[in-house]
Amino acid sequence: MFNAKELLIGLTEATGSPGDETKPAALLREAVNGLADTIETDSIGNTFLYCAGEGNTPRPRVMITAHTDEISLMVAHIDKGGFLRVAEVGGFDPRTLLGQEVIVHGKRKLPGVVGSKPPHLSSPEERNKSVPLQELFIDLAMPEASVRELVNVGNFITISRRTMELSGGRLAGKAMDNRAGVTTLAICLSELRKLRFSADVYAVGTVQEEIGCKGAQTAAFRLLPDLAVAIDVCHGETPGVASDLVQKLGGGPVVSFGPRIHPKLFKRLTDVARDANIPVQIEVTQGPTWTDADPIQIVQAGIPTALISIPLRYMHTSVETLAFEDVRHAGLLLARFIASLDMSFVEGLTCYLKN
Amino acid sequence: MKELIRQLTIPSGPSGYEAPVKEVIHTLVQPHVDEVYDDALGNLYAVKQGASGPAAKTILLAAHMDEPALSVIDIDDQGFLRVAPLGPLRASTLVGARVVFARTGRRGIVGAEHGVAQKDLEFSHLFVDIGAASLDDAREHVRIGDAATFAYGFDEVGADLIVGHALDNRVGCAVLVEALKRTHSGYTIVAVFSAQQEVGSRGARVAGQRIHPDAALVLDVSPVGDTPKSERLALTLGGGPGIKALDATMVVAPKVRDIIVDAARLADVPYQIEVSPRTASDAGALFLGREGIPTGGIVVPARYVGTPSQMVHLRDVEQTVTLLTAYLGQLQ
Repeated sequence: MFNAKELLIGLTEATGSPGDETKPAALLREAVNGLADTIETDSIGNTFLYCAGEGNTPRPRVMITAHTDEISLMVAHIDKGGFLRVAEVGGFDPRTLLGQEVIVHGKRKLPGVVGSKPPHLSSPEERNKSVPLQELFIDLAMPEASVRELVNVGNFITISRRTMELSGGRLAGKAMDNRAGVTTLAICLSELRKLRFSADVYAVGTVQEEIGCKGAQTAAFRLLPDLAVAIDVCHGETPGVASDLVQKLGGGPVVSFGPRIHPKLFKRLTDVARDANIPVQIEVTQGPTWTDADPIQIVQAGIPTALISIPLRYMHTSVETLAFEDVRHAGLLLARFIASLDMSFVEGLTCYLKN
Repeated sequence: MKELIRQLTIPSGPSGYEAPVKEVIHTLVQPHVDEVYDDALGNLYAVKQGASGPAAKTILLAAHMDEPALSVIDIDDQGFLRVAPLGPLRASTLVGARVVFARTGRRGIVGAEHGVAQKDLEFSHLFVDIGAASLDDAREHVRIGDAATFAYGFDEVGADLIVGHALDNRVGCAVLVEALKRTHSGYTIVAVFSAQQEVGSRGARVAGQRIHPDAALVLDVSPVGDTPKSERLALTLGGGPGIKALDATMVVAPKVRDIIVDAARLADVPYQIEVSPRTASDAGALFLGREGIPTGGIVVPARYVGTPSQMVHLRDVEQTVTLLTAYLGQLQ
């Protein structure tokens, strides 16, 4: 049996760039070994963990997803002197890259630092502006010939960061987005073993979310579930950001509401949370949620979809910070929600008129 | 190879009006494949059965046929045409360009209104002059909705370099036609000459859904970074085929990329890795077909992509055919 906090720390310190998610996926499979009835990986790298419900068929078929990839960089050019120029794979804020420690995944893992022109040598105009991505470079402190021997254009680069335990049960590190969601899947499956449930559950570790929510779309096509819940992160309260844009760290998982979310799934999630005394917060999203929920909702004839998010500060930096308690609560909420499902609820999802 | 490319760059193929290109390709591939058919979007499919028999796995190879064009949206009282872009064209690069209308063969020149700085030029400032004396005269030769492509044709620079306005992507089409002639693969090959790449890979999207292959590979061109003060791109002209790692639509999984790299090493073909964040291809659309399709790509390095004079090295083209043939040959 896994320790959930250690699992999250292990997952965040593992590297998994979009298109190359094998390491976090392996950690997920290992953690849920014995909890899932079958485990499969598809041709593009999505991980499917299946838990059969009890009772007669047809049973509700539920897909729960969390993406396994993390924002990364890629070697785009090897400059004179062996300095590496980069392309982004997912959206980094270049302001936060300067001065980071990184790992270049060449023939072996190579430690490096992100550098740029120092302030002393910059013009006053340059000093007042942030350094754009094209002007950053990675220094591996090796002669150019060695760099060319060990590194090729196209190699992935990930942030190198040990996850830190802060006070109050908070964790800070890279890739909390969305290894917090991956951990939530594992907690949910573990919790389900203590409950009776009739739904067939497909927990999916999806690929390539950071470059357009790709794995979730194809996974949803493959499963065509009766309903789906995506797990991701949302913005936690941050000094200087209006309170209506953010959620409280430690205030509980966030249940989304809006046109991309099925209203009956939203209601069931909040009802279950109330009955089980699980704290939740509510977020209204008018447009895209920018999560796996968006493509899943419009696969084939449409899939009723919900979104649960973990509040997180400093998204897409190397110090993404969250309250572990929110992750645990998200796992519990998801399990209780699944246990509440039956076929009559599923049948009601295609009917907006009747309540 | 040079003659094949020349032949393929003659017909005009604006996005959505690829039929003239399709006809030429149809004739060229017919003798070398088991089946040829097309679909509602204008894709052309050429199927070559795999050596492993009916149980053979399937690989989809995609090369887009279309090229950016100008579409007529209005004709004024003097017979000048107002146009909108079909595909990624920049207004500032078009002033003085010679164009030809696909339907009637009428030629024209792109002009610009006076008093607009070049960097501020938008399509609303441009017009096409087809030498018409009046609105009625213009209507004899051009209708609203007609599309015009560049009229520069095919040229040679030195012994090894070729230049043309539609090398993106008739070069990919030529590579695919040639590979169909030469290849013997364990996999069934479905070659898709795709429509509407320039306007969002719409042809490739439906081809991926329809064929649902075990793997897919795109053949296209990709810009190089070897000209004075060019964008910092790793590909060089003459450096060998580019194996796709990243473009604007796609990150290729390392395990997919590595199979192509291994094929290049085995066949002793020099290769480069393509990381081109602003270049679109059919790869992203193919990848999302149904349950997902492992997708990669091989590109021919090209200079001046996005202008009427794209340049490629013939040796790169030859080596791309060799690499593609070797890759297909090792599929069991």
